[in-house]
Amino acid sequence: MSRSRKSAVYAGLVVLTLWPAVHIYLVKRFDLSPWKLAGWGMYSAPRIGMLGMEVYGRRDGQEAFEKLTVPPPEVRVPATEFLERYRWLRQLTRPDAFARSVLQHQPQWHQLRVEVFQPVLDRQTGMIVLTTVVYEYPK
Amino acid sequence: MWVDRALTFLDGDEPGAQPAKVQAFETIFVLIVGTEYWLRAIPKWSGLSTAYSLSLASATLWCLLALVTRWRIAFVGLGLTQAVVIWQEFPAAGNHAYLELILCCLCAALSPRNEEERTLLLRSVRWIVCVVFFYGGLQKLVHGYYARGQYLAFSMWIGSFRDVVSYLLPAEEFARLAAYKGEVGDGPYLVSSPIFLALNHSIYLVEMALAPGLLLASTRRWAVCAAVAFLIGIEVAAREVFFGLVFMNALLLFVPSDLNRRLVPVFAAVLVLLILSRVGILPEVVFY
Repeated sequence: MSRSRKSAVYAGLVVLTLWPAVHIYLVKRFDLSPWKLAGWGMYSAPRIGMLGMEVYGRRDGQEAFEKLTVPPPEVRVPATEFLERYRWLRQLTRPDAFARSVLQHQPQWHQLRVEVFQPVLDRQTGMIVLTTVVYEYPK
Repeated sequence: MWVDRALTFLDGDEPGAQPAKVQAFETIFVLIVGTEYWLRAIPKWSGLSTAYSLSLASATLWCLLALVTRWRIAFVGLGLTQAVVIWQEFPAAGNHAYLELILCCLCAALSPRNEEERTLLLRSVRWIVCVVFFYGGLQKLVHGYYARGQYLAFSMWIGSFRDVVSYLLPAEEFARLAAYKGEVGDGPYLVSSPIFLALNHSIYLVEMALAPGLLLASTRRWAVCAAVAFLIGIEVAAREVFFGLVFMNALLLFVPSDLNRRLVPVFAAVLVLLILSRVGILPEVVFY
């Protein structure tokens, strides 16, 4: 067996041994789901299917935000893509592409606010609580 | 090299058992991966995407080639197909998909015909089994959902979990937890039953203990038995059949003899039963 192939296998094994430790750090730091990305954290945290999002925009010079009530089809696709990524990656992803498509569709808006809702199981109380993450986008 | 010396801890095959053992490991592995592609396709057959159809055709081709010829290129092809599927499903791809990709890479890189490579293949797969067990337990410990039984209590909405847990809880506590629907405001998902909590804590402790148990030759025999029982227990509740089968196949490499060669028909029979269940000839069984 060539020395380079042997070294490649060893390097791979070292990476596979260290990666789950990095994965644990990512879960702690960025709220990443422990279920995915080969950190072997299946069944270490609850998976709650529900995930929701609300979108608000503000016109130039106005105080109040208006809600996007009926999202058009061209906005729904990037919304679904973002939510599916958010489900597992949480703070490692942002709705930038989705925000761009909303601002394109709503040219009168000069500021955009995306609120993502997700129920989580609180470790201390054992209760399911709703968490909200807000993303702001100036035009 | 220090890695070399560390991996020798994992040796311990009966003389002459290695070739048949590695061949059986590859056969079972390819059968599982090939069957999995088809079982995932069957429920959505009428609306199968072009991308998945191509992956299915590619995986089938490479699996057949691997089974018939044992060429390493078949594992390269299967690994590439697997990588494409993980890429398409990212970040939702399951951990078993990564495990399959890792095993494809090892089978592609190391030939069982060469003694040195075969030994490294066995050591590598065994090491990965230890890593998965250890971190599987550690993740459960560090994220805090096993501290007071929160995770298992929450998982009672899954029918197979509920069936297992029902024997461990007083009727009143079981009724309280079973009434929750996993919605905002539900809870507390906290359990006081000592038997339930003992099982809850034993899960991650056993997982973490299995890693050194499998590493050390003096405890390996017991650790293999415990690991097989543990894996079957997890599968009864979780039904992650593909992860379970791939992992069981890797775990059996710790047995000093070529026991896995005799178990090829058993793995094949399980896969046939899964296919028959999925196509509706046998009663439907929920598995993932």
